[in-house]
Amino acid sequence: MLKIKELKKIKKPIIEFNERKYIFSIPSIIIFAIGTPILSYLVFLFFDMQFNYWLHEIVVKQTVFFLNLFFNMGATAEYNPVGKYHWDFTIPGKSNISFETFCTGVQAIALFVGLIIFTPHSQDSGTKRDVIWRKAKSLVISSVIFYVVNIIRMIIQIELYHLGYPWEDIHFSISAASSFVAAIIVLLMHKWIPEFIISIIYVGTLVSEPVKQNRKKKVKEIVKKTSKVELSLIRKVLRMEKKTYLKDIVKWSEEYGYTVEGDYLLIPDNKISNFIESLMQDKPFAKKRT
Amino acid sequence: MEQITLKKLYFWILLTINLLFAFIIGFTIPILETRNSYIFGFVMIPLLIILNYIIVDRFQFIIGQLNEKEEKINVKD
Repeated sequence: MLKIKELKKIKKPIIEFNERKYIFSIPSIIIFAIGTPILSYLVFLFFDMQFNYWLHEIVVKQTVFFLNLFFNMGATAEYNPVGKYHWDFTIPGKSNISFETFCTGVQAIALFVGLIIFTPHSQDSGTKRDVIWRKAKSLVISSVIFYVVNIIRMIIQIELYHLGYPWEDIHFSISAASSFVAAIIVLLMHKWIPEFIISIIYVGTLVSEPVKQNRKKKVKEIVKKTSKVELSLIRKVLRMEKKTYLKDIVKWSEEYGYTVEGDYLLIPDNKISNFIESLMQDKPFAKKRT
Repeated sequence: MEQITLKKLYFWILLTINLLFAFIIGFTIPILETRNSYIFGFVMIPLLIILNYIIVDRFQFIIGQLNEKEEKINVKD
């Protein structure tokens, strides 16, 4: 709780992507993290209720239709309103395959419904003005893709089963393989709602902000007292590459009139106030570096 | 003007698809064997209504933008 209060005090970072600005409120990020799994689970539970078995029937009958269309299999959909699940596939010469809610692929749709609905909106008015449209588009398209891929998965599995492959071998392997679609959906989501990935990056930026501020304060105190600072410390402030920083820091210090001696950066007394001013900027030493 | 007509056509297609879904749901319910199959409509129709609102809202947004652009061009001329 204290950490959240500390985070609230920090000046919010702005992430720019594709000429749009992304600034997120902390409550929206917390709601995203908590709300997504809860909503996803609730949506799944809703479709797992017995009154929603119309979904089972539609999926089973569509699969049977395509099985008979492509492979002339003679498969049928059997309705047995006894027990937990009511629908079965009947394959000639094979034992029945029972159908459950997981077979509809609704769990994947539910997960993405949770993700898309709770993805935080940017506080920038230009970025958020069409977010509902973008979210609706990704919701509809991702659900349709999951639905279609799921039916294709079942068609392949049942045809292989019909050809004589053991059900245990094909069921889990093809189901796992078909989950690659989730990766495609994430890529599509990034195209339409970049807020999803950017909000995750934003959390990282937000959490690392107090560390950066503390580091800057530490450098400020050291320079005030000793007029010098360790190179490794200033490297972190300037975000220089570990491999090349020794070379880069010499060039940078010459630009500003500082000197490098051993592992230390020496700042002349008349430049200390300028050094501290540039250090405490949002982007330290940004003006002269660019 | 040509752009507005194209956009209108695009949104007309979207609304038609939405309406077709509603018809398909209506025609499917009596064929279903599952008990309480009318729940299919109770679940899907509100979603289609929300989608319909989002499409109309988007249409208004796009037409507003195009009109603004045209006005600016007219002022320049």
